[in-house]
Amino acid sequence: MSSQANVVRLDALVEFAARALFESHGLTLGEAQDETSRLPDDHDIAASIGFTAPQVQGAILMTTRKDLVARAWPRELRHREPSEREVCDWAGELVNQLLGRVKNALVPFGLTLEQSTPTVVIGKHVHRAPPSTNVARRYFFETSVGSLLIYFDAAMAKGLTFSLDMSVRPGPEGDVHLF
Amino acid sequence: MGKTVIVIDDSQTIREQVGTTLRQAGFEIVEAVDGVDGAEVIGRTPDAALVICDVNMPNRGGLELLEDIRKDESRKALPVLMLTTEGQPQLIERARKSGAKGWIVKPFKADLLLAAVRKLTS
Repeated sequence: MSSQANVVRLDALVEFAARALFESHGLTLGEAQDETSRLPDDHDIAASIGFTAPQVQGAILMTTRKDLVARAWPRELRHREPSEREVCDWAGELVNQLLGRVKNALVPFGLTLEQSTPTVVIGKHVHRAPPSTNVARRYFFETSVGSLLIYFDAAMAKGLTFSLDMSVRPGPEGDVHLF
Repeated sequence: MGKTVIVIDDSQTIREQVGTTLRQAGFEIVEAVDGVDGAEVIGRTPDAALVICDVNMPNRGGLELLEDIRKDESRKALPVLMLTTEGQPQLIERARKSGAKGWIVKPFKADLLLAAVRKLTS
């Protein structure tokens, strides 16, 4: 599989993972838009998490509005409004769960990523510097409570291929495996 | 008084989400923020009926904590349920071999979590 094919595969995985994650938390993401120039000024929170594997190193960065994160607050806790600190914690957990879904989707392709713990930043008018990695993808989604941006930056070794092995399957999200 | 469940996760929101789900079903909840804190909490909660533990945490991970629990003669029978974003078969197998009783990939479904907790604490 070519590097371009890797990117196409990656785009599909990340978009699907983001859509499924937010849907599970009650928020529908619109179609991913290919708007490379748009930098929303209303984004006031960013959450990032790093990952590494022998041939891949990178990070996922998610930026959005705090009220969008609050809208995706767990159902069990919706009897009250989350504090700013709780929104930050949840943003970190969301990007953690997003990477988890991407990681699990990559398992059948023989790619096993190790991950960092998430970091969250809040503030206004914070924009990302140009990436230096050879893979730098950007996914822009509109929702009913504002937009969501996901950046997937990775340094991938030349010649890395995603070889599908259908015999290797990750555990499905939400299901319980009792041993 | 309900059975005590120790919830170990570096996310406050996840701890509260799990805690709210289980408290509504009559369980007592004790929280810990990582594997180091978790070991301390387990040590001072001798009546715990179950541990629910994340895998990727700062300071000490959940699988390392699980392996420590199994080496401790006084705690080796304590059931541990892993709750994590990880779905890699190698990690699930490592947990199973280390004596975990189950594995749930986040985001969890409250009813399924509760059913598993009831089964493991019955």
